[in-house]
Amino acid sequence: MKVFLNSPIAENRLIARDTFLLRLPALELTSVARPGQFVNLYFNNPVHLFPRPFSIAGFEDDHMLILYKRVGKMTSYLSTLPIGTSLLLLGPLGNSFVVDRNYPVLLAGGVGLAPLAFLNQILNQEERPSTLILGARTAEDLPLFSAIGEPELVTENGSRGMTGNVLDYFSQLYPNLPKPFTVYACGPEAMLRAIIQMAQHLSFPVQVSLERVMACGLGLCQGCAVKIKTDNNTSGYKLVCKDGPVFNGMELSLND
Amino acid sequence: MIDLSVDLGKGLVLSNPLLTASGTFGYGDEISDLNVFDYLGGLVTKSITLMPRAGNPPPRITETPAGMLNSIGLANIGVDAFLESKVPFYRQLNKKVIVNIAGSKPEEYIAVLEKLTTQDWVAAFEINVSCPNVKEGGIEFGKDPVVLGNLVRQLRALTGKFLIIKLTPNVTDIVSLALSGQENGADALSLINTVYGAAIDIYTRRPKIHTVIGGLSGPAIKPIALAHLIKVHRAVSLPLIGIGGISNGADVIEFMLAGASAVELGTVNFYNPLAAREIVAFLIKYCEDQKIKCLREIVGQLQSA
Repeated sequence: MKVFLNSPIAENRLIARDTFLLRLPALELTSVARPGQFVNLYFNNPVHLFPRPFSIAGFEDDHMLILYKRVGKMTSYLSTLPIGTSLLLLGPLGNSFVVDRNYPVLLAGGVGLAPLAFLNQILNQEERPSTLILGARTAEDLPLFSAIGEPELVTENGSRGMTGNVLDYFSQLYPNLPKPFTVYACGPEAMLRAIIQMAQHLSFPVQVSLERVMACGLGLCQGCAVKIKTDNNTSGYKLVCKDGPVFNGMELSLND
Repeated sequence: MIDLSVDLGKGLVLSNPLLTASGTFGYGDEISDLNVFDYLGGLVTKSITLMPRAGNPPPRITETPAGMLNSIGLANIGVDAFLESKVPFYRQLNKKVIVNIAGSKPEEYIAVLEKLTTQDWVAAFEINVSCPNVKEGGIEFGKDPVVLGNLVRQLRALTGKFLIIKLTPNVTDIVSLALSGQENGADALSLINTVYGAAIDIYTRRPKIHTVIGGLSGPAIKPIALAHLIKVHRAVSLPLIGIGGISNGADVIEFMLAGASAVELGTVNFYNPLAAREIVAFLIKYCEDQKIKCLREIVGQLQSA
């Protein structure tokens, strides 16, 4: 059940380069939202119309966490809002990760950490051992906050954790990971393509959370289509907002 | 008690003038849990075609100033699956359901209409004529008065249901198309469909939507829509349904003064799913303030400058 909420900002803090952690009271969502789902934020801006979708990054004391990067006009605007500013949100939207009995391996690229932070929180609550790898360009880009505990870190310039990217680290850990395992991933599309390719090659399950421009977030506009594999070479699409944002990596055709 | 109901003629009465624009409200069942139907006079489905359509490759949408560009490509499940899966929802809805029909040949429109005209829950058809006609070199049905007239005449002969023709603004003279619809048996005209538009990413130098040129909608096109509406209202006697960038109650009043008996809410459904509720509240307040008992009294009451 989706609900509209007017939620006053409890915290809106810079935690890494251009990356912010937003805390919003959202009692109504705590018991219903599942890792992978997202919320729409409505800005009522006459020039930039679309609501902006954000993955839920977890919950703390009936507050919802949103992790976002300042990339465009509306995220820049959002980053300036002081505590107490009321935000209109709608959620939870979309599907969620399907957590199986395999050992969970969470791969997060930058702000793609958001849905995995929530998943990590649930796994911790269930006292299930898991591995979370968080990667970014540099130490300053790592979106670290208390709720994610102590993830394995990797930076491209080696300024913190291992040197390389998330896939490099994952490849290095691969021989020693408990098997069977399932990968849950979110991050830059190149990273997701790479992990899907690896999963096909080595035959392990992978679920990825995708990001797309959305006009509605509800399945109304059909704008956020992503190409899927089909049996007979015909075109097939699914909607990131409604059929996703989480997809079985094997069903996606991200290369075109 | 303010009467918000509107009469489109031939027995089509809506509890209020608010309809949903095709393609902005899915089939209607997507957001049935948001209780928006209470505030609508009816809904218009997304365009239904004879065969299922996957739609265009992404990217399909982009935000533009006070608007959006889309090129969805009429993605829909096709008329047979539509009949199989959506009818129970429409039957229990207790709202006027207007089915929008699209095709690439007259035969396709005819086949879809024939499958639906016997359905008692269908209150009306709205014909999307902004599709390329593959039999006429790809020119859109809605761009040539003769081609449009032939299509309307054929559909008119096949159904006694209320028949709405949705006009495109991407023509030199919309009045000639409106007259063609009227002369060939349409019961009402709805206007406008989206306006041609494009947007370019200056860093990748690529178009922001896959088809390069798409349809512009949202508040950016409202003045264009009003101008077309005024022109058509001056020229035809058919009831008109206003569409184009309506985002609040004041916009609805503007369109009704310009000659619209009803309106369709489009892009606003994306950025304000509760718009209908807010608009109904505004309409009631407006009528009270203006001492209007029946909202429909204002239709076409635009005064001279």
